[in-house]
Amino acid sequence: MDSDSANLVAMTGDLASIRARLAARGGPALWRGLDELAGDDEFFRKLGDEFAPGAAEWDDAASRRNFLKLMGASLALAGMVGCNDQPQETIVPYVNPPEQVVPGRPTFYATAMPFSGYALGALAESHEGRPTKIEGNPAHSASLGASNVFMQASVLDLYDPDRSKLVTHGDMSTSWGAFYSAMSAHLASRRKDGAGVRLLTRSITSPSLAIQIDEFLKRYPGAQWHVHDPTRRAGCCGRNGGGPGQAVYDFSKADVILSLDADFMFYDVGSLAYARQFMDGRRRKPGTDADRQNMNRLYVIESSFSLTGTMADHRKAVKPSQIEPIAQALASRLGVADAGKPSFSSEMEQWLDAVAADLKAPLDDLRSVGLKAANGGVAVVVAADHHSPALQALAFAMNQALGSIGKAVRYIEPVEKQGAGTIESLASDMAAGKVDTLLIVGGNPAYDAPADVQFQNVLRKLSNARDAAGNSANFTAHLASHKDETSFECQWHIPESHYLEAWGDLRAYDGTPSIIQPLILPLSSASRSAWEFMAAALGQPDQGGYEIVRAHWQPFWKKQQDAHKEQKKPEREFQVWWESVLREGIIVGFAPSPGVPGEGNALQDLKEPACESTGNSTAFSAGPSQPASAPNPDAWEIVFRLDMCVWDGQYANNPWLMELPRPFTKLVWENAALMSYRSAEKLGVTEQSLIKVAYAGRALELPVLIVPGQADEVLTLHLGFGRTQAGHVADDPDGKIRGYNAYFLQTAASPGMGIGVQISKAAGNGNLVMTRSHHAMAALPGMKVPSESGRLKPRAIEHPGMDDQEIGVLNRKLVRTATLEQFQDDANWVTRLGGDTEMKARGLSDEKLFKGRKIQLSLYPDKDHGGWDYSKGYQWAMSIDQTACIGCNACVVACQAENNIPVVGKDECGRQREMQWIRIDDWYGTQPNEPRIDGVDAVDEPQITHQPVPCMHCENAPCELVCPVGATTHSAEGLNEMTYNRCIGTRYCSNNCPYKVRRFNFFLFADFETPSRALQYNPDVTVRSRGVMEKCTYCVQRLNETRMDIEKMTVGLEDRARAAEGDGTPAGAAEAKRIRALIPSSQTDLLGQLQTACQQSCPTQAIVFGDKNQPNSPIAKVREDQLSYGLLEDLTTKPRTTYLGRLSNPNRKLSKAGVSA
Amino acid sequence: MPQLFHPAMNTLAKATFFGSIALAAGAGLIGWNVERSSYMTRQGDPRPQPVPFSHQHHVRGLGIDCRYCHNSVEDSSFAGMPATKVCMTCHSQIWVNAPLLQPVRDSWSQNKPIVWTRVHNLPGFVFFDHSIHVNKGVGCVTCHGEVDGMPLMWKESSLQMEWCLECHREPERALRPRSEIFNLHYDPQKDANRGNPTQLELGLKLKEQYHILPRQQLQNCSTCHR
Repeated sequence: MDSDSANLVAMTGDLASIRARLAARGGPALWRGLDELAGDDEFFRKLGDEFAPGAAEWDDAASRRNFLKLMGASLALAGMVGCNDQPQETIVPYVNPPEQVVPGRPTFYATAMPFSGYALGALAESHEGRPTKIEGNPAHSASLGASNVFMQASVLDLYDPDRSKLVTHGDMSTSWGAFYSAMSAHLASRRKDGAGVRLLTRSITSPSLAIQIDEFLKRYPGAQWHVHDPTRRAGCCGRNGGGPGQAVYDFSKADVILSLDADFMFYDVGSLAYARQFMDGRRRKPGTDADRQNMNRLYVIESSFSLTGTMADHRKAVKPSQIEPIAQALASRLGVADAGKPSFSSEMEQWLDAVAADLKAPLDDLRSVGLKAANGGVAVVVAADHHSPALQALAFAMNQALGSIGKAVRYIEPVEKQGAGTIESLASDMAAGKVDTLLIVGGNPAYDAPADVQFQNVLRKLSNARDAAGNSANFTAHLASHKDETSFECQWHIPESHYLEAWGDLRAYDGTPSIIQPLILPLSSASRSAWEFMAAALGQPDQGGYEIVRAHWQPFWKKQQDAHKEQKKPEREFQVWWESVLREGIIVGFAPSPGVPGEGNALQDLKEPACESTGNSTAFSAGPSQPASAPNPDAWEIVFRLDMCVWDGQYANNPWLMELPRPFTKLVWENAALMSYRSAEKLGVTEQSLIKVAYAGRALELPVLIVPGQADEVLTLHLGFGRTQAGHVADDPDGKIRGYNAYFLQTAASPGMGIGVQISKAAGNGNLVMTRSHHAMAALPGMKVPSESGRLKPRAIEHPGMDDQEIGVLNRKLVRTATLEQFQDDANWVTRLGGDTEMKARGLSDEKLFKGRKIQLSLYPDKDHGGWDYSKGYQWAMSIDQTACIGCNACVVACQAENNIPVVGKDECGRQREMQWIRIDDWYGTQPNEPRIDGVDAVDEPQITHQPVPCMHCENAPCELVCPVGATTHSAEGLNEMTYNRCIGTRYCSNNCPYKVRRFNFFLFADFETPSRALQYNPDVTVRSRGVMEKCTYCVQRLNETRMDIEKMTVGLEDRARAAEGDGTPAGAAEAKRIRALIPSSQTDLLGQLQTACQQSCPTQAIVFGDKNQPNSPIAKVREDQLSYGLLEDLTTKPRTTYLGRLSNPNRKLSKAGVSA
Repeated sequence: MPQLFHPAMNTLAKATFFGSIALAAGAGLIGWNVERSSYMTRQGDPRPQPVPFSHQHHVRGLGIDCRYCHNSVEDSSFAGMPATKVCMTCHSQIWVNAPLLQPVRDSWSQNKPIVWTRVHNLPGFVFFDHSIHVNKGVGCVTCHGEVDGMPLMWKESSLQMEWCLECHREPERALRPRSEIFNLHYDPQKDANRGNPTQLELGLKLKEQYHILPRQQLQNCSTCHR
C-alpha cells in the first residue's frame, strides 16, 4: 500500500484558499495542522474513519507462503491456548538480603541526571535493584520534582542492548588493563611536559572532574584541554558569554517578560525551574486578591515556533538576523546608550514602542492593579545563546536599565569550568601535526562538530598515522556509551557507564551541586565513568568513582565546618553529612559567587568591549555588531536547533524519544526542513518535497515540512539526526540512515544560524510521518460533514433547532481560550462558550421533561437503578490546565515509562498505530486581539494551545456498552477499566470512543525478547501482547497501592485504639481517642502524596489529580473553577478528565494601537 | 427412480445430527473439566525443590512463625522468600553436616542464590497483594491450606479466577480476627460453643470493623487486573 494515503497528508489547498476559508469562518477557528485547514473532502473522509486507511488491514509485505505458514501455526495454536499449562517459574531469593529492601515494594534513591552537562535532580525508582523509572527530586532546585522527556527516557538508555560492552582497540576486543598499560606507556614515551597531549570533553560542571582536569594539566603542562558541546548553544543563560557571568532567572518575580528567541521553558539547563516559575506568575490564584487581576505577560520574538513562543501573549516571527536589530531598537527605547537605532516599518516601530512602554511600566494597561503596587512591577529580558554573545549583552543592558537585576535575574560566576580551548583550535592543531595524544572523554565530536571543522577527517588521519617503523605514531581514545562515529575514528574505545551505574557529581543551572548516586552495578564490567577514566589518565586505573567523589567533598565539608566556627567534628561525622547529602540529593552551602563584573557597575563594563567569559566568546562592543538595516529581505536564512526529542543526537538510539511526536510538527522518527507556507509557495514546493539546501559550500537534500508561525524565508533544521553509528533504533530497518544530519551544514563561526542560504527544488519526495491528524476527536471544527454519511453527527442527544453543520462543526468548542480582560468581564465565559446544548447536557444530565413526562436523558442507569453511586468512596478525577500546559511531552514519556507502553516504528506510526496513551493536540488558532502587521494573519502568526488528551474516564462511557466480552468495564471509583486478558480485539470500543484515546496492539509491539529491555518494565503493570486494546488507566497501579496503604494504616491504628480501650481505664480511652484522631490526617497525607505518572512529571503542574469527593482536595476545588469544562460534554459522557480554559494576557494598548485583526 | 437412500439412513442421519451435538458438547464438557482439574491446576501436587524443605517439620514440629521466613507478607505484595542467610541463622549451628542441606551451604559459601520452584504462580496479568489480605483478616490457611502438614509444598487451592471471586463476593466467609491470621488451626466454630459468634456472624462483624470494601468494588476488574 502507498504509505502516503495512510499518512493523511493532503496539503491540497493553496495559501489563498486557506486564507479564504479562515476568513469565511469568522470567529476563532482551530486546527491541528494546515492539512486540516487545507484538506479536501477526501482528506476529511479519511479523518472521519476510526482507523486510518490500512490501519486495520494487514497489508505489510507478507508473502503467500508466509501467510500460509502463519495461518497453519495460528490454527494449530488456537486450539492450544485454552489448555496450556503455565510455564514453570522459579523464585530466586537473596543470599544475603540488603537492608531496607522489601521485595515487591520499590525503593527510591536521590541522584542527578546530566542534562547538557548540568544536574537535574532525580529520584530513581528501583525494584529489587533494577532502576525502572526516573522522577524529579522535589528538593532539587533544577527539577523541583518535575522532569523532562530526556529524564524520563534516560532509564531506557541504561538497558539499550546496543551499548558497547567491551574495550576495543581497532577491531579487537581487549580489556581496561590493556588500555591502561597502552596509555601509560604512550604518555611515558612522550616528552615530559606532555606537549602534544590533548583532552577533549563536553562542558564540565562537575567540581571533582574539574579538579581532575586541573591535575592532569598540572602533570602535563604542555597538554591542552578543549571543550566541544553542541548543547551550549541551546539555552538562554549566557553559557557562550555576552553577559557578566551566567544568568539565573526567577520568572515568578517578573510581571512582563521579553524573550529574544529564547526558549527558556525547554532548551535551557534550568528550563524545568523556569517553566514552573513562569506559571507561578501566570496561573490564577483562586481565593486571593490577585485572582482575575494579575497575570504575567510574555512577549516572544523568534523565527521559528518554540514552546515558549506558544505561551506568548504577543509573538512576532522574524528572521534570525532581525532579532539583534530588534533587540537594539528595544534597548535604545529603554534608554541603553549606544545600543544602535535600526529602523523598521512603521507598524513594527509602533509595536516596539508598545512593548518598550510595557517593559518600562509593567502591566500598566491592566484595569485593576492588584498586586502591582506591592512589587512595583518587574520586567525582564531573556536572550538566546544560539545568537552571537552580543544579544546576551544587550539583554543584560536592558535588564540593567529596567532594574530587574537582583529581582528577576541575577548573574553568577559561570557554573562550567572555564579556560578550555575550542574544537576549531584542536582540529587545526591536529591538522598541523601538533597533536600526538588525544583523549576524548564523552561526547561524539566526529558526528556533532560543525562541518567546516572537518573533525572526523583530522581525527582519522591522527589515528591512522604511522611512524617510520610502521607503528602507530599517535594515541587516540574515546570514552563513550556506544561505539559511535567518533569511536570508529579512534584507536581505542572504552564503554562509558550510564549515570545510573557510576558515581559522580554535577552542578545545576544555579550552581547547586549534587551527587550522582548509582543504583546498579555497571551492566558491563568493562565500562568506566569519566571520573574513573580521568583517574586512569592520572595513573590510578583502579580508583573507583565512589572514592574519587567522596574524597573530593571531604575538604569542602571540613571548610564548611571551619567557616561556621563549629567545633571540629570527628571525621566520622563526615559520613553522617555524606549520607544526608545522598539522601537529599543536593549539597547545601555551595553558593556560587556573583558574576565577575558585579551587579553595580555592569553598565560600565558593558560600555567597555569586554564580557569574554567562555572559550568561544566573541568580543562584544556595545555598538551594533551587524548592519542595522535588514539584509536582503528575500535571502533565505537558516536556524539550527537541537531536536526536541533526540537532543544533540545523544538520544538517537532511544526508541521512546524517536517515536515521540515533536511539538507543533508532530513529526516522528526523523527531521525535516521547516518553513512557512508562504515560503513554500514561493519556492514552488509542498510538504514532503525534497529541497536542496546549499550553505557555506556544502549542500544537503531533505524534505520540506510546513509549519504555521514560522518567519518567511527562514529554514529551521533540527540537529541530532542522520547518525550512522548510533545503534539499531537509529537505523532504518532497510539499512538507511534515519533523518538528515544538519551538522553537515553548520559552521563553527556561527553554529546557531546562518545567512546566505541557497534553496532549490530537488527531485523526489521524502516520506515524513506526522501524527498531527491522527485520532481526530469526532467532527473537527472546520470539518465538513459529508452529506451522504451520518457518521460524524453526534447521536447521543437531539438538539432541536440546530442543524448538523452547527452541531458538528461549530459547537464542539474543544479548546476554549480568552483574554484576561474577557474573563474579567464575564467570569462564566467558559460555560457560555459551551453553548446551549452543553448547558442543557450539564443541567439536565439525568432527567428532563419531555411533553410533560419525565424522561431520563441518558440511557445509562443512575444510582437508583443499579448504576454506580459516585457520592461515596474515592472518586478519581483529573484536571488539565491549558493555561499552564507548555506541550513539552514530559507526560507522554512518563506515561510510557510507567505503563510499559511499546513503540511501533515509523511505518506503523504512518498507519496511525502509535501507542502513546496521551496525545498532545496542538491546536492552532488566532491570537486574541492581536493586531495584524503587513497583512499576516492566523496562518502566519497563530496561537497554539496544547491539549494533552488522556482517557476521559467518562461516567457514561460509550466504549463500555459496545464491548461484546465485557473487557472494558466501569469501577466503583469511576475508572473506566481495561481488562487485557478478556479483550479479544474487536476494536468496537475504540470505534465508539468520541475522544479517540484507545490504542490497539495490532502486532506484538511489546518487546518480550531483549533480556536487558525486560529489566525496565514496571512490574506492577501488565506487558500487553498482540491483539489487545489498551488506554490510560489513571495509573491504577498507583491508585491501588495508595488505597491499600491507607487501608492498612487505618486498620492498624484502629487495632491499636481498640487495644488501648481494652483495659477500660480513662487513660486508655483517652489514648484510643488520640490514636483515632490520627486516622483522618494520615489518610489525607497519603492521598495527597498520590500522583499519576503524567502529573508527577509535569514541569508546570498543569495536571491535577485526586479524589473529587474530598471536599478540600485540589481536584475538588479545580472542578468547581469557572474555567473548568469537559470535552464534548454535550454527548453526556460526563468525563472525569476535565480541562481549564486557556487565559492569555495581551496588552490592551497594543491591541488598540494596531490594525484590527 | 429407485430410492437413493436406504430407510435406515433416517436413523443414521438423526444419530449423526444429535450425536455430533452430543460429541461437541461432551468434548466441551471434558475440556472444561480438564481445565479445572487438578491435572491442569496442579492442585495438591507436591513439587520437587532443590532442598526438600519441610513446612511440616519447621512449622508443626518446631513452631516457627510464618513471618520468620516470609517476612514481607504484612508490608508488601510479595510475601518474601527466605534469603540463604535466614536458613543459615540456624543451620550454621545445627545439622551443619547434613547432606540434604549441601545446596544451602553452597549457596552461602559461593554467594549464589538457591533457585526454588514456584508453587503458587499467577499469570502475568493478575496482581495479588499479600499485605492487604493479611491486614484485613484473611488468614494464611484460607488460601494456602494447612501448610504445617506439607512435607513438600503443594498448592491447596486452584488459584483460578472463580476461586478468587468466591471470596471477593462473600468475604465474610473467610474473615478472622487479625490476631489469628497466622494461626493455621483457628476455628471459630470451636469457640461458638462457648457463646461466641459463628463464622458468618463473626465475618460480618469483622467486615465492618476492617472496612472491607463493598462487594461491588471488590469485584472491579482493576482490583486484580491492570
